[in-house]
Amino acid sequence: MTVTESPVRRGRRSALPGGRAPLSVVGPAAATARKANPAASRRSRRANSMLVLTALLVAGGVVFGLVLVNIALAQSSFQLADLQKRSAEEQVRQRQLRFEVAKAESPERIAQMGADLGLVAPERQEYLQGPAVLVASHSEPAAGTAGFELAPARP
Amino acid sequence: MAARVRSSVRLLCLLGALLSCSCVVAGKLFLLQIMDSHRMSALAAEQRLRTVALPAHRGSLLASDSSELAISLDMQTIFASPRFIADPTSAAAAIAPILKMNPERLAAKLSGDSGFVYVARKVEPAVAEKVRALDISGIEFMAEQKRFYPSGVLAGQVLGFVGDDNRGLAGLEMKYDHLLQGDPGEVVMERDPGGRPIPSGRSSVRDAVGGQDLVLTIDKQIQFEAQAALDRAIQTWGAQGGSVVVMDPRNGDILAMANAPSFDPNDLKSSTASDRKNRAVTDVYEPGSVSKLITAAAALESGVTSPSEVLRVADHLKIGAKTFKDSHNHPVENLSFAQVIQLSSNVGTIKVAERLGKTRLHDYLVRFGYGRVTGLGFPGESAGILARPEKWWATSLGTISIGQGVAVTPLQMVQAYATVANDGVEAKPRLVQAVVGPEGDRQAVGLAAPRRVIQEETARQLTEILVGVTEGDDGTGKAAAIPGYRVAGKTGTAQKPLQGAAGYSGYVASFVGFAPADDPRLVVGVILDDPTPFLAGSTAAVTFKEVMGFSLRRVGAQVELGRLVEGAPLGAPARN
Repeated sequence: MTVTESPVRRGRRSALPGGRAPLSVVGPAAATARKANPAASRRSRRANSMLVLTALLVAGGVVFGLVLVNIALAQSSFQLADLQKRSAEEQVRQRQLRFEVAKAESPERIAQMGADLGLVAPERQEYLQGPAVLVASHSEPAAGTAGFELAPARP
Repeated sequence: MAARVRSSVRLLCLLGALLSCSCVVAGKLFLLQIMDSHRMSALAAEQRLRTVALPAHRGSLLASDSSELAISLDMQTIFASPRFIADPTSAAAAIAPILKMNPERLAAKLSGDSGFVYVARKVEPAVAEKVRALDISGIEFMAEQKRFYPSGVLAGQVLGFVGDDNRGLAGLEMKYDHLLQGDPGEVVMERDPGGRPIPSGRSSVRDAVGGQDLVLTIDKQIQFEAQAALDRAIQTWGAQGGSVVVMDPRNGDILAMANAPSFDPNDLKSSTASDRKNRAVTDVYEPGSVSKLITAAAALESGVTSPSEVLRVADHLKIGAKTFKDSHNHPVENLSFAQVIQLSSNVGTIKVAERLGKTRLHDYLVRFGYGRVTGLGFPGESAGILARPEKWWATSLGTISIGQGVAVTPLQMVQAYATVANDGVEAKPRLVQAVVGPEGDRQAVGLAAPRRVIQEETARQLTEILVGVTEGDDGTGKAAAIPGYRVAGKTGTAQKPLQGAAGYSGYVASFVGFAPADDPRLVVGVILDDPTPFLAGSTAAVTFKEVMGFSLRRVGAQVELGRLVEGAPLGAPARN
């Protein structure tokens, strides 16, 4: 099959070595030629449309990307705010627990609990004395309870 | 022609009027936009911008073991805008049972056209949630802190308390308010005319910085024992009040400072202003024979006597119109100077003081801290009363040398003994040992520069004399002896001056001492206001023994081998 080129194309190729047509004012003759060649005109419009579409896609992509980044940032800030809130809540809880512990450790409360359990303060204290050092201390048992014997000091 | 002229005149008049109006408008614009622009901008900003304060969390007061003695917790304050409450009666009926309030009174509060009334301040968050769940229009909530003292009365007068605005009003809460309160933050936001925040408007946030925690020198266990022993003393001997101070003489750390009567800072309404006073630093008393330590120190340091010098001591001595007597009648005795102190002879002490003279005695009283505050910096701390020597009466040398006619705080007296215990070097008393920042960074509070008051040798001689008070056959403080330890101390039974009148009524019994005498770890001072019996050897010395015995075991002071008296009472006896 043989392909015959149009005179117009032939003319353009011959104008520049690179095959690009030189710029020229489209005169009535060219317009007439386009009208005469609607396929070329459609290709040109399609190319333009593709260019615009591509630009729109890129712009859309950029906008979409920016939105995504913003969403990610917003999510992070929400997470941060949530963590800060939780941290504050935990601090409040920690303080409350420290308060409870301090109340539970109060010597007055412990003394009262001991008294309620029947414990009494020792009336006498004695020391187990080793050869050179103090070993332990011992309280006299409360009345009515069995005590243990003091071990004799080692010589 | 005339018509044209009239028309031109009218036009000119109109033009003139327009020009005048324009000038007025331009002038006003100039005033507003140029001359008054800053004020106008500020007014506009004030209308648009709203600043909300973010309260800083108040720091805690911690005991020496870092457990909380005072802590702030977040509470909820419920307030109302009565003008927005449609039915105050039913609102009050719903809220009152939750807050345990009187419905009628609450309804009266919620009625009217007021814009703001407190319903309940600083309630538990759980309780506030129940009120919130009612969803009553016009009832609002805000966070506020409330101060709690988990150990109740423990060291109440030392800690002090805060007001409704969480500012310290007494005690350490007041003294260190600037450290405890922190730096409040603020939120600045733009709002619409309805007062609602504009989401995209101008806003700025400055976070609050929490206050610092203070680690005190107070040992909770020793403080509790000191308070318990003091309460027992009050109960047993019917004293009107008293103070106990426990101090580490090596660094001035106050391990306990107890007062009676005491109060619970959680329940201010149940206490009086007198209950809330830290008497150990705010009240003064005439120390009596306890003060003979300073006379003895001055005499030994000045070389006017020695512990072994024998003095002929009668049971009375006349100076001017006044006759000074010993506590009991006795014939003229030959007593060493050490015995004069151990037996607490007024006559023997005055005889030595006469050798010193008033200027030297005054000088040593000042050196030991009389007449000036200790440096603790506690709010309301008294400097005591010490007249200048030129203002002394003819009999003042006699009275002041035996601790009358001069007044000190219990802390001043303890500090004087701590100086002797610390080989003659004074360590300034302190209640705060460290500061902990909001991020947990701990900074130790430095010790004040120590000051030598008397020579080491003098301090050693005084210690031996004071040991004789608790161990000597005739020592006045034998009840203060603690098996296993050498105890140095002195009794003091002083007459109480009448309030607002001349003369005396009642007694103050005191015992101040330190142990172990060879390596002092603790100084304890016990002051009882008018006990019965009034003699310190039978009252204050007993309480001293209880507190010192417990405290020595608490700090792990080494028992002196060979000094154990088996089966002898030691420390706090049980009294039910």
